[in-house]
Amino acid sequence: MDVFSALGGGFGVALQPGNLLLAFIGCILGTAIGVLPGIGPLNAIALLLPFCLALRLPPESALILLAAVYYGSGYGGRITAILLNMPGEPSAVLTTLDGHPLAKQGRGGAALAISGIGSFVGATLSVVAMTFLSVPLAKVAVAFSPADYVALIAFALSLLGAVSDGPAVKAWAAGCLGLLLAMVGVDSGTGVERYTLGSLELLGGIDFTVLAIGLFAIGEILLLIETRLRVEAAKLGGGEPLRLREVIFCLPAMLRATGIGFVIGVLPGAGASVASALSYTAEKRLNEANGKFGQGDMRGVAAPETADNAAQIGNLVPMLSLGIPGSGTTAVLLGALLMYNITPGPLLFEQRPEVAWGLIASMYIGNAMLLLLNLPLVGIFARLLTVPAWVLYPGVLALSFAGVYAASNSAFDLLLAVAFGVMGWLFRKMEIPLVPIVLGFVLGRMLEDNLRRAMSLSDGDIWALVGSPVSMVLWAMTVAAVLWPMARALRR
Amino acid sequence: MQRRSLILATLAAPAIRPAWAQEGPITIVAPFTPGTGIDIMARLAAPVLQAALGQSVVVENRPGASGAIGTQHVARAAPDGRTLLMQVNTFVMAPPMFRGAQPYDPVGQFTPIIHLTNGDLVLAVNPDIAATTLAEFVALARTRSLDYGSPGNGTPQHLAMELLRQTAAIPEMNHVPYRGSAPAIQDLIGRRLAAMVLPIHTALPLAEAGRVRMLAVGSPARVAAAPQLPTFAEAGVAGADVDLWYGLLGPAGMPPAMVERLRAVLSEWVRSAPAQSALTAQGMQPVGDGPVEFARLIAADQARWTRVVRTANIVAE
Repeated sequence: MDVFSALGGGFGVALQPGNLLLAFIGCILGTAIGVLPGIGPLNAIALLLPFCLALRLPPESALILLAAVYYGSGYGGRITAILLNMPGEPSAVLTTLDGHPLAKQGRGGAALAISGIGSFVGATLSVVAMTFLSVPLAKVAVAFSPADYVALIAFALSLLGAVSDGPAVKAWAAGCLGLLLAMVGVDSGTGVERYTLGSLELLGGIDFTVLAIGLFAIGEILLLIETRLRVEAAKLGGGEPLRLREVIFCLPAMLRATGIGFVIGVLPGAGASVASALSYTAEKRLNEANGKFGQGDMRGVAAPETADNAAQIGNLVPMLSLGIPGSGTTAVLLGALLMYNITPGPLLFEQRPEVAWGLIASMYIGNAMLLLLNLPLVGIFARLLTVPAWVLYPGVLALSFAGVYAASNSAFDLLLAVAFGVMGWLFRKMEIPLVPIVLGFVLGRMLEDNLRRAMSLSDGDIWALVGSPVSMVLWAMTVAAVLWPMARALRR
Repeated sequence: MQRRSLILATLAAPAIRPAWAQEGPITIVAPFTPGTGIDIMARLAAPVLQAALGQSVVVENRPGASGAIGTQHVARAAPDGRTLLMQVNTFVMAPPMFRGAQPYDPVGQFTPIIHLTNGDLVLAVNPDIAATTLAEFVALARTRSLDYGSPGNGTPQHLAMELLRQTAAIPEMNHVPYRGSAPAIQDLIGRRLAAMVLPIHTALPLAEAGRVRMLAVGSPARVAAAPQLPTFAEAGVAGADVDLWYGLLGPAGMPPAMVERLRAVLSEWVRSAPAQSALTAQGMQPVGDGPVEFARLIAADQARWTRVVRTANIVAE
């Protein structure tokens, strides 16, 4: 089938006034949900779904609304990450590294603007790629084996030392702590309980939200209390607004981040966190000579935000064309389609073109809306900083607790988040970077799962890990990433 | 979030009229994450109960420990009809997998309300596997240890294959547990796993596209969605029937009148035409059996799966 005529049909669906309105509502809801710590698109979509059914929305309209919430959330997470150093969602963790220093220099508005532009570039280019390459890409994704994932994750881990600005040793130690935290819970292969201290709540492992909110939000607030808010907080204004030449300067970084983000997003086992981490470290390594990463480099904001949104769109590819959801949120979207009697899979594009192409067309429109919505609002978002601290931080704390509780409905998780908050506070004082902990945590679980699968499938043959061309290339890159800084240090 | 969902749920209620013993929201606990079969069942049933009972009905996901965390929560709740539980076979499969104290007693701590639906499971292999019938598959599996995937240790899909292995006297199969179905299916259609037990609505489109081959259906009789598929018994392995059953329960000691009210509402709904079409899309068939039959099913399945779990020495995830 001709892609252009199919896409034209899709725009016919997406441009109906009702569907335009739904996309707009979804974008606003998504942005708001991205801002709130802990409350992610997953919960929001699960909550909205019954309304779509109750209002008897046709399936394509429901999907346009729910998907807008999904990709809209990619625009929201950065706001608190930049202004308050508290990421609103997992993939915004990297944005704190350069976004918050920029805000401290009074350039919070500029950082918000470049991240909005990056999000738009990443999402829109990914929708273009999805339009033309969905089916062949899905085939590639299926060929990616557990052994290949192991190599990809090893490569991501090898870049941990580059994530933070301080000594690499501290970053590595923090990353290893993250790996250890990922081990908590029942061993999925043998059923042995690890570090659960006999607690039923810990059997399933530690929830990401609990760790991230504890370390970042609660830890930051504890530090502010201790210093009686005298730490160098972000300033409103004072710095230059975003210049056009800065956008052009960031453009190559955005394009690279789009590529990284989309490819990683298409792989069902990876995700936006891996994508944003890889693209940030890639930019940092590529621009070591002329960068000031960690102290407020525009590219350090643009790259992870672009990759995050590109990966979110990429994640939809295996969901729509294979029926394999790449993340919890796309699993809920899949569930929504099933409730509408639509089975995503290889035949979706032929059997229900109005749904598949209507969604794709609506994503072009929705992302343009999000850009138009976000740029003028930058000033209003930045005004968050004019809220007095005695109002702002208790409010953030309350929302954080609500987010943790929403994730699991468990009071135990609230206590756990407080414990991680204390840990985050101590680590800030010891200048141990927090981002590698979170990345090690996310990657550790994926590494273990995939290593076990790979070993189980190969009957324990360790050479299976380097059995495919993809894995060989990734392992070579891993070795290079570890040796390169060492070699440079020796030469010096 | 809970409060927000309450507000939203209240807005959606067409008319609030008192019908329940006490005013206040009813919570259906879904002990798995959003998007899973149980969660979808709970979210389909919630608006039905809300309209019939005139109370807001909220779905609450309490995932973890093979569903034990949410299930235990309901076991400890008051039997006042305000806390209900949507469950699947995992309900009776999970307890014997815990090594120490069992987290809950499926028979003693609950009031069965209604057995809502059955979900059909099929045995699927990747197209590279030289088996077009169940008998050929069993013969092949006896010659070498085949890899099979599941959404996790102790899931119905895992135990179904384990039951097949024990029943068909296959000496060894290599179980590869995943976190959820998606990555397992990826490895099945990527031809790295030999076989997997799949819900029929997941397997059908993949089979139509030639990415998997379905060998047999686990239900006791052939199913309408794939009438060409033989049952396990027809294909030569009797006694390995397996499906997913979904049902609603409450804490032990719920008043019979309340149970009957819930059963009547949901039984009518599950047999209605719109429900039928929504359920078919999920690969489910409506059942609608009341508390007595449901209790019998739970007791029988508990004995059966406890035996399978103990024989295979499976421990909880």
